[in-house]
Amino acid sequence: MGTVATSVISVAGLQTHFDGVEIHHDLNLEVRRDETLALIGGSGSGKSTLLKVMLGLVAPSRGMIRVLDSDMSQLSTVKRKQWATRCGVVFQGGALFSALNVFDNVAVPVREARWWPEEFLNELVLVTLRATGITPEDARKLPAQLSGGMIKRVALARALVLKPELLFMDEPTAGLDPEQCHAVVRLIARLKEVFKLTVVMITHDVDTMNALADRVAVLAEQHIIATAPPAEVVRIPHPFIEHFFNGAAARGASRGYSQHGE
Amino acid sequence: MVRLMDARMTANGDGALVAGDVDAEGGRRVTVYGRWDIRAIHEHPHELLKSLRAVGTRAAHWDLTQIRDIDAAGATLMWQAWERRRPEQLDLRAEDTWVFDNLAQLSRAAGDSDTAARAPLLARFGEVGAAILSSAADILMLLGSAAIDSVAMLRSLQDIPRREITATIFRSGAQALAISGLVGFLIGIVLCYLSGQQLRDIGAESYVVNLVGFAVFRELGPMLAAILNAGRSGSAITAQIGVMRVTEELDAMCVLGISPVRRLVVPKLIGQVIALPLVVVWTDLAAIVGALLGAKLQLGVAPVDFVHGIVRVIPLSNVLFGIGKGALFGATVALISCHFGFRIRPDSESLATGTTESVVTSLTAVLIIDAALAIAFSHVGM
Repeated sequence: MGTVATSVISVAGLQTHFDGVEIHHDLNLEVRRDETLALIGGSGSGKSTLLKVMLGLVAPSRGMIRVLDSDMSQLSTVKRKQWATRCGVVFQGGALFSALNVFDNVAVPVREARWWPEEFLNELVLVTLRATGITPEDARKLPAQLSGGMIKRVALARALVLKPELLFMDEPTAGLDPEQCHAVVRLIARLKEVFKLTVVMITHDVDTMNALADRVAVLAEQHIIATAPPAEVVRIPHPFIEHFFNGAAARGASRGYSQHGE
Repeated sequence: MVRLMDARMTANGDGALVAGDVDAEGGRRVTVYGRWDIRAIHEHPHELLKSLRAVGTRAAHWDLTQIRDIDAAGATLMWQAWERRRPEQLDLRAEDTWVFDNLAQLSRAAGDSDTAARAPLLARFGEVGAAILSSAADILMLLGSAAIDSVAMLRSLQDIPRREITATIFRSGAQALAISGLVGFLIGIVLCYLSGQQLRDIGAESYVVNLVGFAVFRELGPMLAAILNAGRSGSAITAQIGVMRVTEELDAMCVLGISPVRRLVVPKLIGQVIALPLVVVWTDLAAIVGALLGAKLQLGVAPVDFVHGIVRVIPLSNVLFGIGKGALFGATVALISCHFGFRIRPDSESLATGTTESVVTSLTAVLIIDAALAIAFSHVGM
């Protein structure tokens, strides 16, 4: 009962097809308020598609998806716009608008929602950018002039500027060097506290998962095979989980971030 | 006594609320309550700012410890009310200090971040002139590089990019035949109808052949073909090279030791120089067929007489002059399109602007060259 009351995302019996291929079969997943859920799985297992289904970008063949009390299949265009202000999304490559500078990229959601007068917008955007470590000088740059770490920071600022309740992130530390990776992990941990966020993130990186996740959902064989806290999920006796975590250990990828990046 | 100045209640009962009071020492004390995040206050920012200003100035003692939630939006309103300076007496929750610290830092940096003054008008004219000269110099250098690479290729014939050249001929030539033919045919009809009307009024119908023949072979055929070529092939060349810049294919070519000029510019230049004269011939023929039809319908000139008239009154040098102009226009469009393709930066706006600039510059260049040739060769074929 308690779980249902605090559920932010609820996916039940999800079936998804892509070009005639079944991606998800009877997939069930629950995300609780204020938690950080890491979604892990092999390449091509359907993690990004699941994220797109939760965002309403891909229509499932079957199943029920409720995100922030809204049934995604019933969401009208008008309600979808309101719903979208409650969610922030950080795409893998940042998905910044290349023709707009950093400032205008972050201002887009505010202007689109018509939530804030233009005369006050400057400080709102610059303070939000500062919260992610971007200076006013960098705000004038175009996305093409930014490093990978800065792109992630600007994407985070854009996702957070409307103070969403729910933040989706697709591979937040992909393509970053270890130092930048560590900095972004610490930033996400801090922003989660400041903005009081529920976070759903896809990651391949075990260290990012250990540092940020309260729970881990493992996607394999077209459904969620296990959901548990990071310390417990590694002990689940399943061939994929053993292979995934042993492989990560063998690659020596562990940089050993402690919980919340401290 | 507490005086409530404003209470904007949100749907779930969270209000952004500000209250003013006078403390024991007679000083002003302002206490702020409720939610001050963008979700709660976005409907009434101006009213809330007015209330904040009405209830107390920066000199007052501001107590923000009773706030339930605040973000950059709420803090911005208070910052405005405080005239962008932190009050001397400000009580904050520890978790809210970051936002006011950031605002204070922004205000300190504001002097440096003022928008740069616009350059004076004369300076802007100068900048435009310099940009045109720079582009012209770059195009000339591109032509030089292409010439050097072409000579180098002639030394080793296996290096000639035959596939790319034939692809350009196919795209700029074969694929343009339908539209060039249609436009030429229609222009031929229009020209014949309009001029035929005037010539009939003065009893000079037979001169329609001279007029149409000279206009089509000398001017309209090459110009129509070049205009269509700049719009179709020129924009495609710029976009193709621009996308290669965006996707770092150009960098990859350089790293692999492949000259982008040799692989991209030379084949397009050669292809265009071959294809456009052929398109000119095709457009000429289509326009003559259109004019022939127009002459028959409007003036009753027999098609055989029209063709005989064309052969008799239009010197071959006129036709060759038009075909030569086609080759020159083809080279011009290719060079300008490649130049603007290489100038594109890796963003979508630059791609759009570069493609537009490429087409406009190509058309302008074609018109200028055409005018210059008309003056320089006015005695040829007349």
